[in-house]
Amino acid sequence: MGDTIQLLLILLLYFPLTVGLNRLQLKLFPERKSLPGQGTIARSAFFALLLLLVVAGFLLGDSASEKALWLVYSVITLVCLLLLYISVMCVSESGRRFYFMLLVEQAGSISRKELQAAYGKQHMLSVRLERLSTWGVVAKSGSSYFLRRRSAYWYSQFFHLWGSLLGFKWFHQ
Amino acid sequence: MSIGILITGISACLAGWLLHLAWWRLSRPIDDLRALLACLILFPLVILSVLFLLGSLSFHACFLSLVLSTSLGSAYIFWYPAAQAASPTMLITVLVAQAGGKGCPEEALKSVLTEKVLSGNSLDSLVGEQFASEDSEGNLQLASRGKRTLKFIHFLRKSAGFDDPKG
Repeated sequence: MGDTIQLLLILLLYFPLTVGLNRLQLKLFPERKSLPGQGTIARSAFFALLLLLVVAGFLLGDSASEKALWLVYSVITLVCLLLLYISVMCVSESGRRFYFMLLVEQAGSISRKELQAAYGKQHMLSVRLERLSTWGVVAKSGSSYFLRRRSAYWYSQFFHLWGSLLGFKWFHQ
Repeated sequence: MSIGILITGISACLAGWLLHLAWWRLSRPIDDLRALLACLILFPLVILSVLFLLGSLSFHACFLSLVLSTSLGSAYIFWYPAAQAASPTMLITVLVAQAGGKGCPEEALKSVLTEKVLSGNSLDSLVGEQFASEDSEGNLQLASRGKRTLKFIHFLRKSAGFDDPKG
């Protein structure tokens, strides 16, 4: 039971540690505040994961086989927490629904047309193309965009496949 | 800790995922969030509770399996919107990649990525999932779920040292 309590404490520590590391990173490298936040978020999340895995490796289990099982368990649960943190923070950084909610909050009451005018196609595309260029995912040459990082495509394809499995169509609304 | 706990936790979550897949393929629910919570958190909880009550699992094993299954389910629920409504970032990446070596002109991006494709059903789902409410004149207001979500995200962003987002 002692191991279980220690594991729960480790899991509970994940979010405060990640948020703290994020804050520390922005304090040490203030220039990152002007960059898209996703990089900072991912770095803090991974560093906190590694730190807590080292702690879990030391604390949990008595024998080598027990330690290995606890480590597998800790890796799975901590990676889930990492995904939760990255998802919540990235949604707040660039999520459409979050941004629509923010606009509704600021306006108090707003029509769909006004919302779409405030956060329309031009704004969505320009912000995202700038962000993708900053990350080095795409590069502009002349008036065309070229893919520079194949991993971003595979990542998008994974979600495309996942959506298709559930019956969603991305390009045919 | 035993390998059985890992297998039980992962299997309980997998059973919930299969239920979610079948439900979505037959008829997608209006309130995705509640349905996902039912499939991926509540259903595994019921399975594990039944196994505990039948004596197949000790309290300790049941608890650890539940933590594992809930972690997997929560991560899935939070990443589900990325698959459900393609983010504009992913749409752009797919289109640029599909254009290959000849590149994707900005005009081509603009013609494929219409207002409807980009916004998707974001506004409908905000109302459907009760983050916002719509009055008889078609104006949107934040509902209590939306207010709570924004409050939490504002707090999280401020704690992490971020300013307001660009959208």
